[in-house]
This record gives sequence, structure tokens and C-alpha cells, in this order.
Amino acid sequence: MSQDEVRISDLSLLVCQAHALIERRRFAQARSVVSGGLRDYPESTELQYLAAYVDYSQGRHQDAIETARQVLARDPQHYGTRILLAELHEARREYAEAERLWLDLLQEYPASPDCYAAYADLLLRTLHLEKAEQLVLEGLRLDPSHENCLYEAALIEMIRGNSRNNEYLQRLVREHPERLNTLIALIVALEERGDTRSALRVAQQLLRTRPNSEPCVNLVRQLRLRRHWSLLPLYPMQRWGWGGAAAVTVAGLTLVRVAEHSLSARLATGIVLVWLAYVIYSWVWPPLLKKRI
Amino acid sequence: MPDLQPLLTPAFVPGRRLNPAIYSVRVGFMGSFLGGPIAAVIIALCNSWRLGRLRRDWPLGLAGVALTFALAAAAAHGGLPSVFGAEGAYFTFELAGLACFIGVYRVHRVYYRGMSVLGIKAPNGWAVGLPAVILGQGAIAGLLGLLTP
Repeated sequence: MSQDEVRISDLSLLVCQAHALIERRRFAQARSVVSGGLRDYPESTELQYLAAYVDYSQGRHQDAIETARQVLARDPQHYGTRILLAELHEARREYAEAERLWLDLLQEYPASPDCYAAYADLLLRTLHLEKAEQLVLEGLRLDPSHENCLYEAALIEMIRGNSRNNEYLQRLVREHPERLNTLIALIVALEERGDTRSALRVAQQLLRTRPNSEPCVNLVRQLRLRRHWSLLPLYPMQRWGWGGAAAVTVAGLTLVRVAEHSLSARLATGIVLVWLAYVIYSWVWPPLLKKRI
Repeated sequence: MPDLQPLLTPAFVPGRRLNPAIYSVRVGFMGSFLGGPIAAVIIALCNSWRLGRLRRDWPLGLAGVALTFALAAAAAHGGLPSVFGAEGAYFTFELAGLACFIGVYRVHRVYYRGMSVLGIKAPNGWAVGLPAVILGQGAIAGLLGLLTP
């Protein structure tokens, strides 16, 4: 085996090792492998890309952007780096820049459902629902069982108020039952339907598989909070959201007004005090409970 | 193969770093209740502007002004229910504000739901909510003063 072949094989091993560590979310170790590799192979765009990816995963967005630009200066067509740069711009709320990258990728890869799903995700998170839906439908036309397209389509259906007969969610659960996206979509749909108990059960299962994940911990905490017994008097708000709050407010204020002018002073004062206590409780107790849980 | 050109048309303006989220339901709800229909439509139109759909939603503004004017005229000529007492006119404006908010919520429902489903954080609502309430209350007081014989 020649010296060049040994070098390439070592580089491939390093890249594989870094990929494996990133997949397991061991970013500190991945960083040390990548940094060591870059000392020996400073010209490797793959290692530079992985360095940028580790920076991005650890929240060092500026460093990640600089490294990603260096990679693209050498290899303007590097697919992973272009996707990473788009995600970095999105994280920094530079939406137009992120969009430009997605549009370039879509023009070069018009048959890639991944690109449609990723661009739709950007549009969905910036509330461009109609265009996001068109993109997702195009992605699903190209690949009817594409996981990310099904996930985005399921979210769009939920946003449109269709949590019960969500065809895309059903397909997502049927075709990708083990994926993280499926569980997240399921939790959101159950919560939207007001079935917090089942949502909590799924979220707890998810947390068991990812005990170190902060978003999973927060999700379980949030769902447990919603099921706390001391929030039972707030059921209309919990179940019907702001519609319930509006109904309770109108009913309460009407009762207070009518009581003030039609009932005895003692009874009216009692009703006003109960109403005030309820209002104060509804504003003060949930945030306090959140801190406790 | 379908025409992809509409999908490849940019949706964002370069260099503009606006938070695309709209003011929360809480801001709309409280602002509408405290400031009446005028406050409700001010907050709604601010949201429409953030969503880039002001051209579609501007009639909401007209509806809010017309409702406020009609209620003020009715209150000035004793046309509101007396069961709510002497301050019944203001209570009627509060209820009308909530009714307006329900209408606005229906128009912007998918965006509010989108923020809820996707966990998008709403911008701070004080800068819009407080002036909207002050303007709404000022409009009510001004109209009642003008129209009362």
C-alpha cells in the first residue's frame, strides 16, 4: 500500500469516527477528533465541514458560518455545507439568505424531496403556510413516503385545525413509526386534541430514549404542568384555549355587572370577591407552579 | 411535471431581519377587552402588516371604526341595555372589543395556531398593546363626548 493510500484510508477512518460521534451527540469528542484530523489534513473539506457542523451543534454559530464559507470557497457545490449554511442563517433569523441557499439547491436538485421539506420548514416557521404546503405536496409527489415531507404536511394539517383526521400523520405513524419526527408530531396532535394524558405518555416514552435531551425534558415538564390537579378550575382555558378564556371572562364580567345592579349589596360583594380571586389565581398560580415543577 | 416557478420565487426581502411571528393571543385578547373595537383592529392590523397581508385585511380597520361609531351613537342616545348600570356603555365597548377580537382571531387563526403548534415565540406586545388601548379608550371617550346631546 502506497503512502498516499494510507493517508486517504486514515482520513476516511477519521471522518467515519467523527460522523459516529456526531450521531451519538458526543460533540466534545467529535471536536477533538476533527481538530486532530485537521492538523494532519488541513485541506480536507469533509473534516472542515464536520468542524462547522460541530460548532453549529454546540451553538457557536459565527465560527460555524466562517468555517462553512471556507469550505464553500474551496468546494462551492458541497451539498452538506450548503444545507448547514442555510440552517445557520435560519438560526440567526437571516431568512432571505437561508432562502437563497434553499432556492439554489432546489434549482440544482429539483427532484430532491429533502430540499422541498427543508425549504417548507423554513417557510412554515416564518408563517408562510400556503407556500410551505405547496412545497410539501410537491415533495410528496416525488416521494409519497418521504419522512420529512410527511412530518411537515402533518404539522400543516394540525395548524389548519385538522388534528383528528390527519391523513399525513396517519401515514407518518404507519410508515415511520420509530422516528423522532413521528413521536413529536403525535405528541403535538394529541395535545391539540386536548388529550394531554396520552401526549404525556408518549413524551415520557420519548424521554426514556433520550434522557439527556433538554427539549424532551421541557416537553414532559410542560405536559405534566397541564395535568396538575391544582389547575382544574382553569379547565375551560386548558381545553379550549383563548376561546375558553374569552367565554369565562364574558360570563364572569356579565355576572358581576348584573349582580352589582340587581342583587343585594352583600351578595354582590361576595360574587365580586370570588371573581377577583379567580382572576388573580388564573394569572399568578400557573407561572408559580411552572417554577415548582 | 408541474410548473415549479411559483415555488422558486423568493418570499423574503434580503437584509430584512424581521421576526415573522405575530403578537400573541394574550395581547390581542387583553388589548381588545381593555381598549374596545379600535384597539382590537389596531393590534389586528399590526399583525396583518407583520404577515404581509395588510392589503387583504384593511377592511377590519373600517369595521372596527364603524362599530365604535355605531355603539357610541347608541350609547349617546340611550340605546344600550340598562341592566349593566350607569357605566354600561363602557362595558358594552369592552364586550364589543372581545367580539371584534373573536372575529380577528378567526381571520388570523391559522397563524395563531401555527405559532402554538410550532412553539414560535411571540414578540413583546407592550409596544403595540398599550398605545392601542390608549387610542381605543381615547376614541370611545371622544366619540361619546361628541355625540352626547
